[in-house]
Amino acid sequence: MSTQVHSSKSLPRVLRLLPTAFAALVLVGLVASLAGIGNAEETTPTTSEGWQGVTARLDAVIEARLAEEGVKPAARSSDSEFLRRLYLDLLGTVPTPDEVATFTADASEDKRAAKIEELLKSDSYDEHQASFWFRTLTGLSVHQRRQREGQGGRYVTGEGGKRFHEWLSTQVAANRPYNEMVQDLISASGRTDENGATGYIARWESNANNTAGAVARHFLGVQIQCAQCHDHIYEPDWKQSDFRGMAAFFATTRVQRVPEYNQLRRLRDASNKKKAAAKQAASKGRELKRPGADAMGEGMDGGMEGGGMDAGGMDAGGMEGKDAPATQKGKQRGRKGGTDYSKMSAAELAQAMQELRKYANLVTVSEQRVNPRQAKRFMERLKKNKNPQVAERAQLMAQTPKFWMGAEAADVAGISRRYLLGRWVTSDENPYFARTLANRMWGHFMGRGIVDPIDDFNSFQPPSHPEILEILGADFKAHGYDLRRVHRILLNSETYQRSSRWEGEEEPDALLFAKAPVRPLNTEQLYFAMTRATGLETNLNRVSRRQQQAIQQAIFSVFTFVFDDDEGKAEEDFSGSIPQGLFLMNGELLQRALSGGREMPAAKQAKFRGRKNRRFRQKPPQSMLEGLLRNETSDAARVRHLYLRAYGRAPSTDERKGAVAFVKAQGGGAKAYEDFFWALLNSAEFMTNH
Amino acid sequence: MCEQCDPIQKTVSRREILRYGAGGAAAAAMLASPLGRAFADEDGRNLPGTAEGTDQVDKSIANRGKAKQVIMLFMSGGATHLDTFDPKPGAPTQGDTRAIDTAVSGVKIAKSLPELAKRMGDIALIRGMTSKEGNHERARYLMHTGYAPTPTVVHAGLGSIVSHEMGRKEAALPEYIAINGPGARPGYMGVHHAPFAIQVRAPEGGTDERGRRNQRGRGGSSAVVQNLVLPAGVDKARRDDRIGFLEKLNARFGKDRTKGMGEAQSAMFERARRLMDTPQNTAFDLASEKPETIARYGKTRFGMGCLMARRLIDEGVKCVEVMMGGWDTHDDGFNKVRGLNEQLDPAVSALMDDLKRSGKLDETLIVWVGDFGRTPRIDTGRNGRGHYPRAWSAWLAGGGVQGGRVIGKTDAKGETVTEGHVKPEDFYASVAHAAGIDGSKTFYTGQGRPIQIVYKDGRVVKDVFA
Repeated sequence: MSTQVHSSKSLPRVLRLLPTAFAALVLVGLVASLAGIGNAEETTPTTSEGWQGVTARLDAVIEARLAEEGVKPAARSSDSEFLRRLYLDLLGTVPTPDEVATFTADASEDKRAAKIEELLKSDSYDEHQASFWFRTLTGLSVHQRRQREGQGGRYVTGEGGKRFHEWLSTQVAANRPYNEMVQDLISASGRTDENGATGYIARWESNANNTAGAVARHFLGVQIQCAQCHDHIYEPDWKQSDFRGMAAFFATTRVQRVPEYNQLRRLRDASNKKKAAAKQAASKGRELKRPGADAMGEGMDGGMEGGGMDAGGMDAGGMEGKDAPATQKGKQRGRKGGTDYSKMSAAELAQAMQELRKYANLVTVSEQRVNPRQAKRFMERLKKNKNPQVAERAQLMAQTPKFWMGAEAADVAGISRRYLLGRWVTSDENPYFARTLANRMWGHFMGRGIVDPIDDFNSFQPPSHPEILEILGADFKAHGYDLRRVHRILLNSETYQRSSRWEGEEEPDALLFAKAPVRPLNTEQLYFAMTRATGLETNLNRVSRRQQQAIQQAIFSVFTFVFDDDEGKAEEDFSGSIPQGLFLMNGELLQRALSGGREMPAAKQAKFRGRKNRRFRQKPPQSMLEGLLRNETSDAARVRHLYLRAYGRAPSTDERKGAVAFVKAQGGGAKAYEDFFWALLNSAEFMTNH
Repeated sequence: MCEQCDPIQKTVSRREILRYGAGGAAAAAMLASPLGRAFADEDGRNLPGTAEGTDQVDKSIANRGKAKQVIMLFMSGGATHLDTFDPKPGAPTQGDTRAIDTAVSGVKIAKSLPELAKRMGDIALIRGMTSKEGNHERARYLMHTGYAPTPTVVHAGLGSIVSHEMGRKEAALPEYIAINGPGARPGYMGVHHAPFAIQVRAPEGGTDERGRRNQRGRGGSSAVVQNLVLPAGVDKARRDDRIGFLEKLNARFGKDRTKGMGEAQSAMFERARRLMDTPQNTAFDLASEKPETIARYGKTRFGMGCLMARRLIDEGVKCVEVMMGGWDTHDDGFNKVRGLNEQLDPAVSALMDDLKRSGKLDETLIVWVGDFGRTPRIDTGRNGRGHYPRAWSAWLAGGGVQGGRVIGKTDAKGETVTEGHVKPEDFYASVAHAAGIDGSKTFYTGQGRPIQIVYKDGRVVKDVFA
């Protein structure tokens, strides 16, 4: 949990916007001095307009434009259509048949608003919103175990990622004002396992340029990276110096492995030495010389060898072995402890390594401390460093930080550069902050941003409805940056609640918001929707955590796929690849979920001899379909139930007849229902949010 | 130098074209959405990144475009140049490794590569490789794409480029198959050019790169391709009934809603079904190979990977990547590298022999490359070498490459390239040249950013070809 709560009142005291000439380069430590600067006073909203008024104004803007274009919007969604969409957007899963039945049977006028309130208060809302922010801020899914090649993110995949997700979840649950939350994200320091908020900065591995790009994208809605190496080509006002001014805020940020990691590393070295010696002794005279097995196996290699020290890739080109200051401290501490690893047995070493393993991807986020008197000399030396990354950092340190398209920010004793940036980013005067969030949330629920892509405000793409961003942004600001209120405003709008059906010949332009969009489910939604619809969810609660994870991984390994660009979007969606097709058609997981209740023939079992599969077989989850066939005797009722499960709606008469005919043609038994339900689960209606 | 966003001079960005052109907004919105991408590239050509650009490749260089297929042998972890293809006999940095003469006079390679030494006449050895990424993850990205990783774009890997530029629409097997490794992501080339990853194990009793023995019944599924077989009790007829009913559901859904999703899905099942039904998929089964063949390739995981690569090349697959792990030899390096060389040597030699025998070598480019080289200075405490991108080796063979050449040179200790520098982008320009791919062809990412297939500073290494 964070301890840094600040009101905007103290802003003038910390923001000293001095011209460069006066900007003395004073690099300072961070956390300790903050207590005297902020105070915990809450700002109360000045306007008291109810959210209904805002919703109405937003709808009016959309409708005025539609009228202008002569487009008649789609009808209001049906109750079941609305409910399924709401569940997927807010909770990331589909409603159960019971929930659908209760909601559609409810005759009260305000049942939609009431349902929205109910879901906004639920635990799964907190969980899902935390996952949403995790994805948005790291470009990775919280459920993803392995980092992606070339995309970084190793520090938010393990324990550190878990803590970051927990932290986000806590913020959502407490409905923490968004500006405070973002201030923490930008300025947090400490270990990733102790202060979850540090996950955001840790994710960018102390690369100042990447961090600046991420912060600008996420909170200012601009893609400034193009100005990293030259003045922007299409935006004449975006100069390279503007980019460097932003990057300079992160030049003093360090992301370093925790001391335990060095212990782990030395243990591994000792263990490797021991093994090599043992092998040499044993293999003398043996004909086949085998390459030695690595003590920690393949999984460890990337983590251990890759970013040995400072995560910014400092080990490039002959830099290896030169540990950063903090690392050396860790080493000394280890030695003082007097543990001589070479005297430990192989088993002891393995045990010790196992205990320390969770520290492998933990880091400390801190600010580099430089004695002001030595600063200049230090910089000169660093600038001459052969390693381009070190030189780059030194140059950025020497640079006066400058807010994006704003004033310069001189270093202030006792306050970190990141803290200053956080104050500026989240201040009420910042023209970008509220509009970016407004656009992000609009895009999230309406399928398309007012500016789209969501985080790419630029002069080439004017907003489709600038008033929307103004109204929503101003309300967000006036009401204490309340995220739940933004959700409430948008979800209750007519625009959100329109049907996704379109009767006309040609679909209307998406930027008119004349109908609800049809969007593929992302991997997380697909997983939760699939496990709920098949009834695996209830069974999963009875199986072990490891089994749950295995099932989760099976789905994630097939569906997690990044489309092309921009890690900020993390498009892990249905992509139509062959492995996905094979998985859906032949995968054991779906087959098991669909099972009408018979054992696999022995010949087939042999094919699934894998360890994971064996675990599944020992305790096969009882299938939903089996129960349905036992309890429900009429085909019509069975078809209806399966429609409710997959689509969240009852079938029309036509659909029911068609389904029953298909089931009969397939023999009418368990097999026939497996075929039928398979088709439902693989259909576009199930695989999309509409 | 900017690798983030090369300004393509006087080229109007796709974003602008779309924004100001007729119906631009809708088209842009569609292309920018994942759904749009999922079906926009359905025909395997019409991709999110619309290609344009002129052929600026120097046609005066001989042998352009002879390669019709590509095999990439990726040495994951970073193969040491001093202990493989750039030994320095007598140098203080050499350690235990000995050198032997090769078929090419004056060229020596490590003693533990005797078979490849005999085949040097077919290999264009590049000893002047030099790069800047010393971190595995970043270096693997660099050496798979020719671009340094940047946070805003995913560049296409070699396999995806080959699949996109040379692939056949009607192919039943995927055109880019990655063996024993994840391969590289397709980036702006789109999902249909993503690596199709398969796992090949060592034969029973054989070993993998880390010396782990394959014992019967141990470890996970032995299936090469996951989920290729129909589940128990489901026969082809039933499968087709399912898909038939699914098509009906999708048609109904698409009647008054976006059709794209249903169409993308139908296409996916069609491709999966084609792979299941094609007789070509027997290529994935090594059981029919004779024991003598297996022995020639070596009873190792990498050996079987190479054998699989040959079988897939025989079936016409455009790009096969075989990953060989274990090269991150920080500890006990000399023993490890000797062991790795003993696996590498027969496997690659047998692959080259088989391709030569079938007449395919001339049209199949073999690319041998890894993360980076390894530090010439020996880490005496650990008796191994660290990461070293400044100077290292890679090689090309087949596919119109002029064998028996050595390009570039490192100094007496193997620390610096003294002549014939080859940067990753030059390497990629050369690979593209061999395959007849126009490296200057420009694509636009979903964000409208122009990217050339080969980074614009890349120059074809002429000596590889003439």
